[in-house]
Amino acid sequence: SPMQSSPVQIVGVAPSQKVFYENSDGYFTCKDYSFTFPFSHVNDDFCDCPDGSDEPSTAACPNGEFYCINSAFRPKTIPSRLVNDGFCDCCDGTDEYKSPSGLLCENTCVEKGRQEIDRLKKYEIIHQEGYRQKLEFIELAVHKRVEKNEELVILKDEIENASDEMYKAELAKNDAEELANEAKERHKEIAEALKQEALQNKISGVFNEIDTNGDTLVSTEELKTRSELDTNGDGVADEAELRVLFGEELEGGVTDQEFTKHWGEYQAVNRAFQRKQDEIIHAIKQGKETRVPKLQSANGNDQEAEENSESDDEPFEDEAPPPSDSEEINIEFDAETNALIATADQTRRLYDDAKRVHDDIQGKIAEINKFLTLDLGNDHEFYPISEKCFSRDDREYTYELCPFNKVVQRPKSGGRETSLGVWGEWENTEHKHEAMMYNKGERCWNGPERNTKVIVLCGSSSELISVDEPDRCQYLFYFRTPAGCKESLAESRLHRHDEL
Amino acid sequence: VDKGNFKTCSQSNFCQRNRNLPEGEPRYHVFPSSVTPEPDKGILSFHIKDNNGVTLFAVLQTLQQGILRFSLKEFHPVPTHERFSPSEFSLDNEPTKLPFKVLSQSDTQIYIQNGEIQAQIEFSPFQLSALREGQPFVVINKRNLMNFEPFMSKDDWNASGVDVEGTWEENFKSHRDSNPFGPSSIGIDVRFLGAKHLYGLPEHSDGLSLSDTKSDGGDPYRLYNLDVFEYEVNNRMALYGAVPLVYSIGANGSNGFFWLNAAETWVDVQKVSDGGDSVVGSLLNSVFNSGGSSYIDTHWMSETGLLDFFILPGPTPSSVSEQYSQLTGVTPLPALWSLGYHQCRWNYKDQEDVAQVDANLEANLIPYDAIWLDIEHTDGKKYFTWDANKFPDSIAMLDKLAERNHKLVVIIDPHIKREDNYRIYKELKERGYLVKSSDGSSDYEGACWPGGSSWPDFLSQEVRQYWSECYLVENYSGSTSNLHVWNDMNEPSVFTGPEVTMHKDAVHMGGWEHRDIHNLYGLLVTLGTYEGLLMRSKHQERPFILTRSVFPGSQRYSAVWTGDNEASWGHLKIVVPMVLQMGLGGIPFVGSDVGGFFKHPSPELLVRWYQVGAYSPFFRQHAHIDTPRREPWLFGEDNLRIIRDAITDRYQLLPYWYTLFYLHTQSGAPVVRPLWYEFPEDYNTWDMYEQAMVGSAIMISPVTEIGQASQEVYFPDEDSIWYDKKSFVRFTGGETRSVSTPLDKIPVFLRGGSVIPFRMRVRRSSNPNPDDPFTLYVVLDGKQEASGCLYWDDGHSFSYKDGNYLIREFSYKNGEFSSAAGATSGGFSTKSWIERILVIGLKGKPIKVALSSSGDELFTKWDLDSKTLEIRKPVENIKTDVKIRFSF
Repeated sequence: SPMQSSPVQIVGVAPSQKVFYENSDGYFTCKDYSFTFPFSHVNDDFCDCPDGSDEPSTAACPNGEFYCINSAFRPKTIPSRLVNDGFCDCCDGTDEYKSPSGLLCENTCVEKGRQEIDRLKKYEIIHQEGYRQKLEFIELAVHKRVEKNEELVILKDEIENASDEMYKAELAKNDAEELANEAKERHKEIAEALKQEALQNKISGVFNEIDTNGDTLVSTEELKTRSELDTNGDGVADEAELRVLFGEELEGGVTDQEFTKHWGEYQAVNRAFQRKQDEIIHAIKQGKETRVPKLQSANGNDQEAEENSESDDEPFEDEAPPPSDSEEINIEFDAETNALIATADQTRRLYDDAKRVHDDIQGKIAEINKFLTLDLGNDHEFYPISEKCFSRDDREYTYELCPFNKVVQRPKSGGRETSLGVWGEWENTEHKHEAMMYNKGERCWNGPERNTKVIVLCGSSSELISVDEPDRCQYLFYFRTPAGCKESLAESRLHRHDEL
Repeated sequence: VDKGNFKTCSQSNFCQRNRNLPEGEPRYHVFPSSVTPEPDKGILSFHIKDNNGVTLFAVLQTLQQGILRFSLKEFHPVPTHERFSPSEFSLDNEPTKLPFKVLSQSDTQIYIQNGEIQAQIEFSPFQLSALREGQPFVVINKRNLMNFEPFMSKDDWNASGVDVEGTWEENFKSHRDSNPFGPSSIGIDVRFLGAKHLYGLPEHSDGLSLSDTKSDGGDPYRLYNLDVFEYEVNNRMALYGAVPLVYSIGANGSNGFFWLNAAETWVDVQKVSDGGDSVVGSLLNSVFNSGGSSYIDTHWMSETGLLDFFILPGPTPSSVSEQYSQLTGVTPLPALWSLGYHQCRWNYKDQEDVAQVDANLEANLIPYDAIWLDIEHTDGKKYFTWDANKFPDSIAMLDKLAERNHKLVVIIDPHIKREDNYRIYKELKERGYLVKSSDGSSDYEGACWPGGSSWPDFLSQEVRQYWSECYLVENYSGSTSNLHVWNDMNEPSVFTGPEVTMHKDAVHMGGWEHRDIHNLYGLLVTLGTYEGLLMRSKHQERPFILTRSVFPGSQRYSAVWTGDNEASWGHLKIVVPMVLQMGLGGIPFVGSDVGGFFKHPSPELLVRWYQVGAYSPFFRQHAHIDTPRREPWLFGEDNLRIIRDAITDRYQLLPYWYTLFYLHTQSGAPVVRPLWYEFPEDYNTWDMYEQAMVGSAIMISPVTEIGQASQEVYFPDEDSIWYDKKSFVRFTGGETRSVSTPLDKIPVFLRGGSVIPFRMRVRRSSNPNPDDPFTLYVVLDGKQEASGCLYWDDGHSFSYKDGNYLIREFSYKNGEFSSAAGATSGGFSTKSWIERILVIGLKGKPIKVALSSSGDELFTKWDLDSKTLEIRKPVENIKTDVKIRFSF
């Protein structure tokens, strides 16, 4: 063969895998059984197997793996691309057996092993203390829940009574209100009738005023004298103008009844006339030379119109309040109605009091239920920290985490605090209760709402150990607490970089 | 973009003056008696008189490869102000003048010969034609739009009766340009005979073929280096860079025109058709013969400066790029690592963040070569400093990266914070090294990232020297040789200035106004940086610099990126044409911000952008500070895998990319090129810009549309055969075929007839093990032949200049593969070998593959599905000459 590169000694193989690399018959079969070829192709720095199994010691296969024994420390499997790349990836240095720059790796496994043992010892202590406290936390939670459940029993009793009281009060209130309302209704009918009568009287008054000859008919002649009906302002209310107003009924005179029918139109014309008068008066006040026809108002309220525009400085008011047909008729309730209203008020107050008592209890129940259903861990171990807040300073800000409530940021220089999120939920990770999400904080300028993820680690005390903003307005906290400890050290997450 | 912040031609007084000149009115005439040919010197000089009796002095030079250079200035000494020429900075060296022959001379014209090219000057009116075999291909001043406004006093100008409004003083928004020397604009019209398309004029976010600027009522192409916030695509507005160079293509092949001027410039393009594509078709048969009646008119207008241009005769696209590179130089061999993947963000916050990103890239098996720090790494945007809270031990960080062959690139911008206890500001100020305001004495002041800032006067060699020394490790505390440089905002960007740049009446050394040199400023910054990085390594290491602003000559110092783009499909689509445009402009090392700078890309857009980035010369992910993090592992396992595949493609092809950059140093050829550059005779390619060639062997047709399940790909050149890079499916040239494009598919095709070098082993970065082997793809054409080459060296030093490099020429012909030393191969020593040769396109399976010399048989594997032959471990050392015989 033109390339006689001798196979390197077999390194990078896990003890359990060594059996694959025993040359029994001069041939090698890939672990995935895809190919069989002469054993000389094993570790000859050429990748023959799609699964990379023929090159455990070299970097020839893109998907290859290299196993470092790392005696005195932990074994490690690294991608074979790191073999002989000029950097010591294994503490025993076996991955750089032919380093390009002649690099020699020191064996650091003993030292690393020692550090690891120290670290584990330290962690063991933290974990033991943490777990001991966690059990206390659980106990506290159990007591609290018993307490709350007892409270709940009492409150449920109380709310039954309160409900009864409220119900009774409501019935009394409803009865009294019904009576009072009926009385008011009666009163309203009477008042309405009186109002109608007053209006009719007013219309009749105007009718009689126009009907100068008192023949109970308003004739064309009589109407022509009314300057307010001169809609085009030519000085006289002519027949055409009157016809627009009264139609065919003008023929032979308008009766009281017909006049009432056209009262609406009449009022509209009258209002338009009034507005025009006001304009003229205003114009005069502005000092303009305007020929003013002699005025005569149906209501005779020239005076008032003049008074309406008292000041020269004030802009002319276009929208004078329209004269109202419904003269306000205030008729006081009679004594009987007043008594019924007073009773209704009294029963309502009693009902309100009863309801307040009831709602109060209901609120307490809801609060307890919220507490009891809040996910404070499998054994409610997070209960003690749910009643506290934890803060941490960086250069500019103080950050505060109030578990199951909120996260805020306060400038150290003083000034307004910013919400970084309110309690949302536990992140749905493989093991629950490892990360908390606080959402819907204050919106960033030109950005999203702030939110905070709190990674929970095991610790011997509760402490916010780091705050970070890896993405703009997305905060990441590391929080250490006994509640985060698991029964075994192996399962407890103690270090913030464990997740890498 | 807020277009109101930037001038239109109608808001630019000189643009209006020139654009409104009447066509066809003779204004300039040559004095027949002044015509002085000096054939031996390659210089022909003469006087031109304008209608007002002003005499101008013109020089025509005959240069190498038939290049013609024409320059024009006032004959009489200018009383107030000289005309600036950027030649000293843009031209690589003084062009070689070649002797010419006078073919004929009369009272009306002179006709000379320069190699294969003739030049004819008609005297009245003045007109200059460039001809090949007696057929003109470029005509200057055909439309009499030539304009040369001689400097004059304000009184004289007023007396001339020309409108004064905006000529001596110009206002734009709240800014006033005092323009103390008055109007001095220049212009010329250039006709490209037989041309169907024009290309060039970087930098614009536009398709590749220049559009007709007159027919759509829009503005001319504008060349005025500006920091355009949130720029739009498909637009002729100015951008960060300016290269006043065009290529034509059509009946006369390809010709070029290079307008050497650093002032604000506008270019009108007008296409005059000869009546449709049928004629183009018939022209194809005689593409290098004249006779086409279509032509393209251009009109070049600059605010001031020397009137100085070059006619590049071509006649092929590659000869135009070669001619241009002979004038302005090439990008020297980049450090191999700089061709790898770059991980950037505004901003990796602190040392811890850098360590985490590094660790995550490694954990996710993503190779990379450099991690980048944007402006927030500094102490208060004072460059050459560190934020001591965030980067308390930058040297430890740099060293830790270096251990695993990773680099750090930091931003160094040219605006200098005006803070007296900032050493660099203090020294620049005390030594008078800052650009002066219009009064000529006080330092020019404006706002940029640090707030109140001033700008070093990079026009001065002394100032550049000072700037260079800032990079020395002993002067730049907290730095090591593992730190490389990014010069941004060098248009220069001035937040408070007119059009977000420096006032034109600011004053540089020697009394030059900023208006004279504006487009050159960015180049000058990188020149100072380049010298500094060379000094830092005692001329041992190749500098890496990324710049945003460019000008002719910038390619000699820096890579460039397409600036602050946006995470949108439209911006992804414009990447390839912008990369092509820049490459044609002589600047091959270019790429876009992967993912888009502004806004947040969808995972699909990000993945597709990686696929474009992996096949762009410069490959960097970058993001605005307001966007969510977008490192590759944040989008789920599938997207991570596809992104990793794209980056892996890049790393495996690095030997090919590196060879292309070497070839660029030899010929100036762009690394990524338009199809028409490679196939000028295939007119189907003339208007294409979404497909591109990476070198001459690989064609890319990246997906740039949302949810695109398949796309139409044109395979150029009916004599060619193409193969899918992954599946080796075969395609025939001259056809358009639909190719399926699921998200993990990058449409990349190998051109039959090529040998392409790969390194299949992907490591942590580009070169942690220099002994790693190569793989060769031998891609056969219809004649069962292929050829290609590999350039290789140590990847980082200048020792290649002492012969420490190798060039391997590979070929397959008559059933034999050969690897031989190239003609100029040097003495680079390496243990690297060839682990695999993959032969693609064999007509059948050979019965035997053996070394020709010894007859020793080689171990091969025939893949029935793809009909490819893999030869296992054929060559022990890449330097070994070898022949391999295939028997059928």
